[in-house]
Amino acid sequence: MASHAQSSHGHAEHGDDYHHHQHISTIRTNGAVFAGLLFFTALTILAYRFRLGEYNLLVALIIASMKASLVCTWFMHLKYEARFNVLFFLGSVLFLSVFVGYTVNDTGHRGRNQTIQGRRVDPATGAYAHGTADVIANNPQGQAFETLPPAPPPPAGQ
Amino acid sequence: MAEAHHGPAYLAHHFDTPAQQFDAAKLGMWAFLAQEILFFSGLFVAYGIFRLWYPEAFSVGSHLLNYQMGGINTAVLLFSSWTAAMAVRSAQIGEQEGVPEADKLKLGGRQWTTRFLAVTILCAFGFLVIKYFEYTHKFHVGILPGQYWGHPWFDLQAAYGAEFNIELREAINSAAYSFGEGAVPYHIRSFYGIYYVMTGLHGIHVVIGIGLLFWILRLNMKGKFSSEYNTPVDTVALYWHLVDLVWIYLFPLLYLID
Repeated sequence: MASHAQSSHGHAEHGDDYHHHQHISTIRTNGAVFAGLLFFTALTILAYRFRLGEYNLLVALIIASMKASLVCTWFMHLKYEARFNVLFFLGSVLFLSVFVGYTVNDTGHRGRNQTIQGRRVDPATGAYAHGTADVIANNPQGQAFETLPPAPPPPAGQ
Repeated sequence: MAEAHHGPAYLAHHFDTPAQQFDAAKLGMWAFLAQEILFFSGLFVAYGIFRLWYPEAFSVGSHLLNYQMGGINTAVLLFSSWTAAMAVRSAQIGEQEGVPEADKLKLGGRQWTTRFLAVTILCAFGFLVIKYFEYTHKFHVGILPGQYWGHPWFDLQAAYGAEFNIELREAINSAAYSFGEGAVPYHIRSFYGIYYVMTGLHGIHVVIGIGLLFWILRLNMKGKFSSEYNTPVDTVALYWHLVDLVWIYLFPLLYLID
């Protein structure tokens, strides 16, 4: 747009450091971002309708993250934000991914390993970890996914 | 410090320049938004753990949610994010006095800021209205969190006959995990605990957002903003985009489970 430079730098009389400089986005950019967000929303619903099974969560998270980066970059002006503020914000996102990623990875593999390897949390009593095998086995209204071997008797002499 | 009263009226006396005041406000806002991410991160961890523990409950629970309504709400919120971004743009452009008509940026100035903010507020109310219909429908058929599961507050099931049962049954049977005709996994209670806490907390953010949007709408109508000073519009829009960001993740994580 012809007048873009004129209106965003129209305060030159005060000198460069006096007034803050803001990036003014164009109507076209904002419209394109909104269209992209609607497109990804349709895409995530379509992916759900396709029944991706075990990839359901991964695909949903990837599409959601693309939408989130569109909002952050253009609507929130992160592209033109002071580097320190960008670092500050992305630092919290990094924390979130470590927090969620490591916890979910840990939790996700516990029950499976115990079932596959026949290991139990307490070798003396043969108890399963809480929230995994014992809950599945003792689930009062649901149904067990797999038949678990019976717990071994406690070692003799105890 | 040069003098006690310096610069324009909007410049607080503890700042030297508008640029310094602006940078301080923006840093403060981003620090707050970072805190919001951390605040929600605990809930997302809870979501991840419970989804891994009880995948069957999340599958069936998600199928009891109306993803069309969730999708419409997503579109409403995305649209309001666009109007918020356009409100910031119009406030930054300002009145363009002295600029030749042909060179003026379109959709700029105070009137457009008012219009965009008003539409943003309308969308926020629209979001809450749709959420209200979703919540009340669930309350009525007894889709409640934790120990309250299956205990309708209002006995509409008796009033509407078997209609609700049929609808719920179809939803349950369409889930990827099947336990036989109309069977519901025990830990669906946990899924709805997570659903109500996460969407409820997000809803509270929407309500606070409406208050903030009304506040800057009022200031804008009083003529407090210009191309030189529009920080409140900027920061409130940032908050509103964060509310949108949270929903961008909540929608697929809650409504679109196989």
